[in-house]
Amino acid sequence: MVDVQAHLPVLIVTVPLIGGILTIATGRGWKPWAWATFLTGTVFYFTIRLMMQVLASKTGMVSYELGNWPRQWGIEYRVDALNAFILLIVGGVGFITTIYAKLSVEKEIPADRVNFFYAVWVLAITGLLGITVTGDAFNVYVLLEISSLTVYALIAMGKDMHRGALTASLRYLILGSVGASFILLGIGYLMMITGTLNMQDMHDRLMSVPGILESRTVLVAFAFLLAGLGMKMAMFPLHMWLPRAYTYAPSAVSALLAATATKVGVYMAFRFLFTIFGVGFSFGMMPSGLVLLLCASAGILVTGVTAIRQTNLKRMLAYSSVGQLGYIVLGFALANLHGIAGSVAHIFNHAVMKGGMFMALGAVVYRTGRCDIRSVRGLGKQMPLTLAAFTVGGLGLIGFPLTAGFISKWYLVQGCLERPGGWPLAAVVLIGSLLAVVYTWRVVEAAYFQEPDPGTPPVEEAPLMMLIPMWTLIGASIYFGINATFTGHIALTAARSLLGGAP
Amino acid sequence: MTSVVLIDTVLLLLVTVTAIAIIEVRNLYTSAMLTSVYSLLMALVWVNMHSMDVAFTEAAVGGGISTILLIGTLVHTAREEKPLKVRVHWKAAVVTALTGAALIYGTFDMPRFGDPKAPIHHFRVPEMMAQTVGFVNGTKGKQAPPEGFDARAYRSFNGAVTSVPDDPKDTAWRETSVLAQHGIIVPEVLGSHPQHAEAGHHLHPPDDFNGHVPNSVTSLLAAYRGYDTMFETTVIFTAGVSLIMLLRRPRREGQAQKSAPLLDQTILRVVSKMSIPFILLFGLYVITHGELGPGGGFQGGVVIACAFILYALIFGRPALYRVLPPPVIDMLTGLGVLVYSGTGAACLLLGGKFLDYSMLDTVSPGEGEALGMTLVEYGVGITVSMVMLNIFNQLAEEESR
Repeated sequence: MVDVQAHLPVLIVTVPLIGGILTIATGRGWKPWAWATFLTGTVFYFTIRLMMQVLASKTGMVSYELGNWPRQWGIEYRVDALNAFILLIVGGVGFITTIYAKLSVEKEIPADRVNFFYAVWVLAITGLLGITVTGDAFNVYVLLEISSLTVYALIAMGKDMHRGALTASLRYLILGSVGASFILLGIGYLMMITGTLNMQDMHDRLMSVPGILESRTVLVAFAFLLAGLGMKMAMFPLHMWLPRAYTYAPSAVSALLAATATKVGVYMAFRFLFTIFGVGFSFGMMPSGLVLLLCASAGILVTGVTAIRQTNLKRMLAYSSVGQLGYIVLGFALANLHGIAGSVAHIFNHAVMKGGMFMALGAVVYRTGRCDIRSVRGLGKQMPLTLAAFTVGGLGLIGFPLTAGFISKWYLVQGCLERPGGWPLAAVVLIGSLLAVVYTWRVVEAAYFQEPDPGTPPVEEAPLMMLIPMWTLIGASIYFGINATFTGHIALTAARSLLGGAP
Repeated sequence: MTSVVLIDTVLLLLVTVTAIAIIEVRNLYTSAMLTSVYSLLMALVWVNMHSMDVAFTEAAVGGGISTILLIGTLVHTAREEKPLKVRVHWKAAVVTALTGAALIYGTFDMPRFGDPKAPIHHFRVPEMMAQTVGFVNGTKGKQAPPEGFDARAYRSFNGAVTSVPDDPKDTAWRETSVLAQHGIIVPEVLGSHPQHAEAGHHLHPPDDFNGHVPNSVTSLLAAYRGYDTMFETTVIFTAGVSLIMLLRRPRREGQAQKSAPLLDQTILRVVSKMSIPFILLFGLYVITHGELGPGGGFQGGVVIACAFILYALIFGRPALYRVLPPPVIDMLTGLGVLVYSGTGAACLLLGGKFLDYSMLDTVSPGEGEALGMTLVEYGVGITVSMVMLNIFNQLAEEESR
């Protein structure tokens, strides 16, 4: 039969593509969910094998030429430590959130469209995986279209469809389309000036053709890509779409998006800034390092304060996500080894922590039907495991030792201090952590030290189908906080290859 | 000023005027019709640039079906735009102005319009135009090279080749020499590409498509970058599925559907009855012959959808549902992408890489590439036509409520 090992990169994308379309034919009830779980589980297995293959290969890279066309003309899948790691995150979190989705989807999505919901869900994961696996600039854009369209649709399926979800989705659709067209313009300009779409080829041309880096076309392409990517990864101050989208989306969708969607946006920024333009151009010739550092620092501080003032907990976590994204941007904008390593590590750490926290909130919504700060009052006794998961996740956001958040913050502070005059940035990282203490504490206080509002019926602990995925992610955040060998090794390898230009 | 630039200037001025008119007109029906005019003008601009495939798509999608869908939307909204107080949103104005300025600024260092020495023409594309890509590395093609074939010269491909071989089917040779004679291939840039030195790595047959695909746009979209096109089709499919998921309400059984209001218009009925078969046939022709001339799955799919929409408009949707029941439309929507990705998977199962059409040679010897490309074009056509039809039906269904 087919040698799976040789085709891993393409199977990661085509299996969920074909399977996702077939989801529609699985009918109603539990079957679409089971099928989606099977698909995402298979994908997760493939991503693990691919990671092992990348780590074992001598070049540190796996290449797959689609249709057997030479990479210069066709499309190449190119997987190194960095995107194997992101693939692993998307595959793993995608699988775990799919398991989690069953109960909350039963409650929040009309029963007659569950099969369509899971089809779009699987296609969204397909899109995110496809962006990550490819080594071709235009292929990125095509898959970006798929992941964006599916995410708009998933958000619009939110429970209060006709109150908030549709407008939140429409807002995201407009801003997301603006961002995507900026990215398309950037890629188009680059193609015009380099004559190729392969990322590696583009990089070689930009480095070798004399005078090309000074040309105004490249300059404008860079500016458009930066703005477009900023919008897609919800970098402050281009994050306006995110809080509403996360707030009104169905619980499972919020968890999936928070853990994967913006992360893939950051990954695209890595590829465009480091692999295509090269660190010398992006952070040497251009002032983008400074701009990004300013945006990231402002983002960490402003969204931290905004998060404290929210009463809707989903919205609070959404603002916190923008802030945490600030750390990731801060890290790679430092453009030094530890900064980038911290950034890569934080992509993983934030994915598991925030994914777990959104799952915990989803469980609260499942039981109480609400997710404002009043609804968690006294829940610490009624839903101890759920609230404990939320608290541990919060500790991770703070960067408490023995959680994964600590590891990435450690790298980040190290990176800040390595930069000459970088101590104010280190201070920003620490102040951001203090803000995270405040907004996490508000929930902890309400859950453990306040009595439930009189008249609210007592609720049970969340069902196991929710607790297990939730604690898998939260458990991962503790495990990789204690034993950071794997994440640290990958993060440093990825950072080295990014700084060296190309894998 | 050459005539091409002159025509372009006039067309683009008209496009700009139309765009302003679309914004300024208060009547939404007029506005929708003007977008159709806009697309047709743009199609002419593309024709002027010799990109017939793009022009065809613009005319079919922009000028044709999107106008129908816009008018369908208008049924649910008012005919007139609400009068707005004219108020300048300064922030938006500044951002828009900056974006526009940046776009124009970027054009200063762009290669001149039509410059044969532009990177995009001389860096990778000549081999694509001459369709020698799959053959650059190996002589061990699935199919023997033509008689009198000088593999060494073919492989090095430095653009200096000027002789035309005897075999009239060997279009690649002709293209090469024509391109070289007109100085379109710049020899010094082509040189040799060390990256594809691995011998025998790429086993596509000599001129890639056995001389079947003279239209380089089709070979680009369906072969070299066929994987992108598969996902473009998936984008259309996603749009269709999202629409069903978000907007479709459960169909009530025995719901009285309005009889077709236009059925008593004899002229309309007779003319549409006469033209629908030909529209369908033309759609199929466009899909099948996309490799020879402008066209392909996207354009053909839209043309086919138009035929069904015309039928529904004149004879009523119940009549359309008798031909194509909604569940069948839904099924076909997914089937198109499945045909496309299934072709790719078949290549993989036959021992090649995903979408390596040369593997299909075992199914149809010597015609594998052509077979693969025809299959994927039909896949695109099925999904595009059915999604368009689905959108139309959805709009119409809302209206009859």
